[in-house]
Amino acid sequence: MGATVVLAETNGVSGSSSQTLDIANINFGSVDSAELVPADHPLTAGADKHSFEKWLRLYVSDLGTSVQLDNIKVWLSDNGTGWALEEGISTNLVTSGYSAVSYPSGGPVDTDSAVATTAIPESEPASANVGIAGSLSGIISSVPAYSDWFVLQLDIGATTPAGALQSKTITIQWDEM
Amino acid sequence: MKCRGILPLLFFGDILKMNTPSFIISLRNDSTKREVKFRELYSLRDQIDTLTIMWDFNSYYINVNERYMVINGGRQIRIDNLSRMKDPELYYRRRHTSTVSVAGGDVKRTKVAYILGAEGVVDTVKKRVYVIIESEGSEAKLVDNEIAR
Repeated sequence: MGATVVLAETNGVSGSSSQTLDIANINFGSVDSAELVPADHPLTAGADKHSFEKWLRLYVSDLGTSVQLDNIKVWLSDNGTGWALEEGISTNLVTSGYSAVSYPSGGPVDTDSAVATTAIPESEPASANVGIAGSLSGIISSVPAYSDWFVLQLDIGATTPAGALQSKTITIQWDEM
Repeated sequence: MKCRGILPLLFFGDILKMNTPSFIISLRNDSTKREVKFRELYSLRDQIDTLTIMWDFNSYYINVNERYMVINGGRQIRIDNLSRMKDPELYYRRRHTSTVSVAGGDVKRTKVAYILGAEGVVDTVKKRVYVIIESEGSEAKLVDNEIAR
């Protein structure tokens, strides 16, 4: 049996934040909440508009038959029929020049993220783009443990059409030995 | 009196596919171990000379010292970066891939693959050469020029 790994999202102001383990989706919206229903929390089109950031990390509760876990990659694997006008997802995912980020004291923001500043990769990265213990070559060898944070934010603009945005799929991959 | 009976029909289900692969290794002391568990590979990794992964009727073999691979009992596969690798070391992993939806149905899928190969210095760069082995009989994908951290 492999390691028990789930995706966790944290919301709220630091100190009173809440964490949701094993989130069912990464739905962006106009509130800072995990597993939200997008239709209930729509974004208003306009220049330089954004969803609330999603502060995410992997949580490893059990290594199972494995000794260590590493090489975490995250990418957008299915973009449906493509981006709507001025739609994009920004992130802090990088494969070089990596620096771990800390959960913000004021919680996730819906202004232009100072952390998620790179377009989300749309194909499998050549190497890890989520750190562990501050390094892309880090490993998890004892549990419970978390990966480093990775942050996503949906960006829209004045010309983004009204209505539901295309559903997408994000892939998360890791290796065990 | 004749006896009549109805021979019971025997239904043989499909031969069960293996949900997990099996591992066979040979060590540098010339011993061979079968039915090795995945977790055991870690402590033996520096001693392993050859590793065979058998999964869903397919087999994948690497001879680290001799720098070649064999797939399904076929001919040796010579891969340039593997052939030229200095001080090759066994590179193996169990790879988990999970998907999560964005603004769609809450559908999550997880699949498992196994990585079998070697890593070492090619020219002056540390590289990895390996196959990605997924279940359900799909063809292994070769990665022959990955930069190792």
